[in-house]
Amino acid sequence: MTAPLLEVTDLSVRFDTDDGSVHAVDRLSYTLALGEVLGLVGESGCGKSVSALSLLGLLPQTATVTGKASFDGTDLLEVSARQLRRIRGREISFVFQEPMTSLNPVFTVGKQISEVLRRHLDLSSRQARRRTIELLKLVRIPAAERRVEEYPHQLSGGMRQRVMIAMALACDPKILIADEPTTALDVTIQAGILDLMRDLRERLGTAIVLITHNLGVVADIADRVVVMYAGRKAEEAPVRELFANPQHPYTIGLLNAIPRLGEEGNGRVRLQEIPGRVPSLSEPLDHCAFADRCPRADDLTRSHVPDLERVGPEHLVACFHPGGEWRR
Amino acid sequence: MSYVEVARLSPAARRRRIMRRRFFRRPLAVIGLFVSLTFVTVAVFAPLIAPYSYKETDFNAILAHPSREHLFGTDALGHDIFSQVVYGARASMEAGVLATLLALAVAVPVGLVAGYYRGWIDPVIARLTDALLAFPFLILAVGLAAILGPSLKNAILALGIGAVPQLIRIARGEALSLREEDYVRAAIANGASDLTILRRHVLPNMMSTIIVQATLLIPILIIGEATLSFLGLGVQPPATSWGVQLRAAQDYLFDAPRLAIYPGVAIVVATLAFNLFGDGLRDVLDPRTQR
Amino acid sequence: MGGFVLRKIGAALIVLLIASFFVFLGIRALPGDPAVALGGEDRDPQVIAQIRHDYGLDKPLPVQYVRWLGHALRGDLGEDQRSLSVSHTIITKLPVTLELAGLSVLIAILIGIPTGVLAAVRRGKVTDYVSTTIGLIGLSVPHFWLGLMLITVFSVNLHWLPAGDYVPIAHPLSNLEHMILPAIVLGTGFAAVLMRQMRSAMLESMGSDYVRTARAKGLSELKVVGWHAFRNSLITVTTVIGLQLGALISGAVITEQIFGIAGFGRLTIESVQQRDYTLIQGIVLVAAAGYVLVNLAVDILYSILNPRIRVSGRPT
Repeated sequence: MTAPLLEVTDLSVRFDTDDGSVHAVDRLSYTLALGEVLGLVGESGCGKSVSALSLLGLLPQTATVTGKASFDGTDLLEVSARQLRRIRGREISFVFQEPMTSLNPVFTVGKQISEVLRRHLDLSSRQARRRTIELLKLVRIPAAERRVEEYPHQLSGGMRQRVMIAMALACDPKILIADEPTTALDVTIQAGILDLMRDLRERLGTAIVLITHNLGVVADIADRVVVMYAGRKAEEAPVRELFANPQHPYTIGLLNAIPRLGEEGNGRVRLQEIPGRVPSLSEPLDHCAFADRCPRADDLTRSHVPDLERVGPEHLVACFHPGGEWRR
Repeated sequence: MSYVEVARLSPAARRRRIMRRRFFRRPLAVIGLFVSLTFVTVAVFAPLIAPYSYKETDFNAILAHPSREHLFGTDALGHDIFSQVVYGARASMEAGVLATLLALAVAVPVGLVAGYYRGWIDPVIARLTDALLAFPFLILAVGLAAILGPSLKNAILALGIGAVPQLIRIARGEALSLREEDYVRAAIANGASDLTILRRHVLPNMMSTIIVQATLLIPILIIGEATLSFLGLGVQPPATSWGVQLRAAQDYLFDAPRLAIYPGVAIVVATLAFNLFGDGLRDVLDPRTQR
Repeated sequence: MGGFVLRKIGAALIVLLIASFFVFLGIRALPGDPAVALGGEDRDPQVIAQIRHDYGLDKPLPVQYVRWLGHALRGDLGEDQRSLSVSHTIITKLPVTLELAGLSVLIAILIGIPTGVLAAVRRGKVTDYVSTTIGLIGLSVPHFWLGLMLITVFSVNLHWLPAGDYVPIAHPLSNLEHMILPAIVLGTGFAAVLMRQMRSAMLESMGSDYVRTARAKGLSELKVVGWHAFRNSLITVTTVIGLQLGALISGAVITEQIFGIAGFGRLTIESVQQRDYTLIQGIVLVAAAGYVLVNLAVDILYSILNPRIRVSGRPT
């Protein structure tokens, strides 16, 4: 078995602020293989973005990160600042959620892409410009030669996101981390972006960590899925297995909550929600994080932290009472 | 307080506790608060604190060096400098605080009306304010003081009026953006009267910005009063203020620079204190601005 | 950008017009009969009536205003108490103040901007605290006091620099000798404001998403801060500079008074103390016009720096 490209072990992130501490991520572990697409799923605030940002050292000063993130032999969390800068943009790239604010408004789009090329690949300005135009074409931006000179505010949201993707792929990184790349976009544009990402993955073979709260997106493009809840991993499985055989009550809840066009009887089906709210994370919980909202909660789940258990080939769940059905 | 007790407080009270806690974590702001209060106290209780009356002269001790009888020494007419500085605080505090209140009383309603109602009145007020803002603050104050005649009261008036345009702009800006807030629109949709909306939704939310601006305005107006008096347009002798003292001190820079140093330091410290306090207040009340 | 500039110019003109109206009214609001004031010593009713006619003081107010404005636009601001042309007086004194202002702005920029950036980058550390506190002190020190103190230290005690007067620029070294203290006095307050604004603008841009993106691209800290963040902060700070220039004019008034520099500022004080209303009128008008024009220039500079204004956005 080949060694994984990225191996995250017991990653924990804690924020210390004026108003108290927040334990955003609690001992998260997962692996990523070459060319694989891993979906990191969970609701807002579950720590998925934070965990990804911590890999590249992009969290604010108030964050304390512990654990290990082994990439290509080096531990990303222990590496020197200089080495980290060499990895960022070159080996591991990030695509952020908000294309509107993630691009610098005072520089042209072309300049921002060329910047990465010249920084890591030492290209001349002419070479960089040529490659930039190629990249823009790669992400299917029409009239690339003209766009190169334009400013972010002149582009639509969907196009800005494509620019972000082009920027991220510029140096042909091994891993692309995409943080909710489609959330801020219209539904019709979303499809285009996902299409693009799928195409790129096939062509370039880049491994992708796709962070999203949208299970539909995951079903579309991921190979494997990690479901997170309140900073912890709740379930992990290959994508088909997850949809066929969800074990964690949270996963089941998520799947049930996907609205469907009318079926049974009158065609009016109530939206299934998961009652309750995410627990406050000011202290690491000493029991199952989902206990308050779980239909299977009992004394055990309210007093102990469930460990990850194997329930099938490559299928892990952290639950005392796994298993169940979901209405497809 | 335990979590349970905190949870029982109303949301407003809880917010106030958080703000108070945040404020007292900033040493500079706390220092600013206490020093400002000290100055205000000194101003109020001046006759009790100053060893001599500000009018009292001692022709035997002119331009004397600091001694036990005269903590800061005496000036050219035999006034005790320490007492002068203490009494000077009165004029400065009065000017700073009263002029600010005056400016607020005029600017907040006007700005509110302009920003909230818009319509035809807003452009008019906006243009007028812009025109007034075309005059540098001091030039405006000096001009007004010249028209009104020199006295503390007129100086306060001139300073207050001079500060109005800038405050109107701020109040208007706040009202303008608050108007677009969802809860205001909801209130309008529910048929609430304009007055009610202004009173319950718009004004309270403007308050924090206004308070911060007011606190930061006071030191500007303190310096303004000192400047006007320095130019002979404010407080007139024998009444005294720090500016008046500095004016008199000019002639004695060679022989007795302390005549200028003491009142000057008083101005700097008082201004600094209010600025620190205002800064701290702003950091605490506006969650968006970080230190 | 053309549209933006035109609109700003239009607004500036309107503001100037209204401001001129205020100036006109302000002087007319003074107690006493202007004709009598103009007549000076002469109390003869016939002479006064003649004066009233000559100056058009018997006409209705709006007509007077238009007449006055017409003269002003042609450069004629009337005569002061000593029968000297107001415009001439102002024109001779203005360059002095402009030089003072120019030097002060230079000092302010050279000190304020780098310190502000440094304080933001080293936020929370000693450098930040020290800079911020010094900045606050700089804000809290009234111009005239700083001037007096500097004179005391440098002129009286150390005899390094002269305490006053002004030497024309034809003698550059001596001119600088005389101007350096006043320029420092004026520049300090401005530098303090610049420093604070720069710091807060840098903190904001350094915390922005695009800076995070720049970091994620693996760029050096220098590039991230000095190029990406700084360039954006510069835009925010530019708007502030315009507002501060008004304070600069005010400060010049005092500073010139203290240092005995015969410039526009000192002229203002003299005119007020002598209650020379025609002169005051001219001065206030010129001050306002200058302020508006400078702000216009700043607005134009802003539009050049900010691509969102310079290039219209047409999302396609």
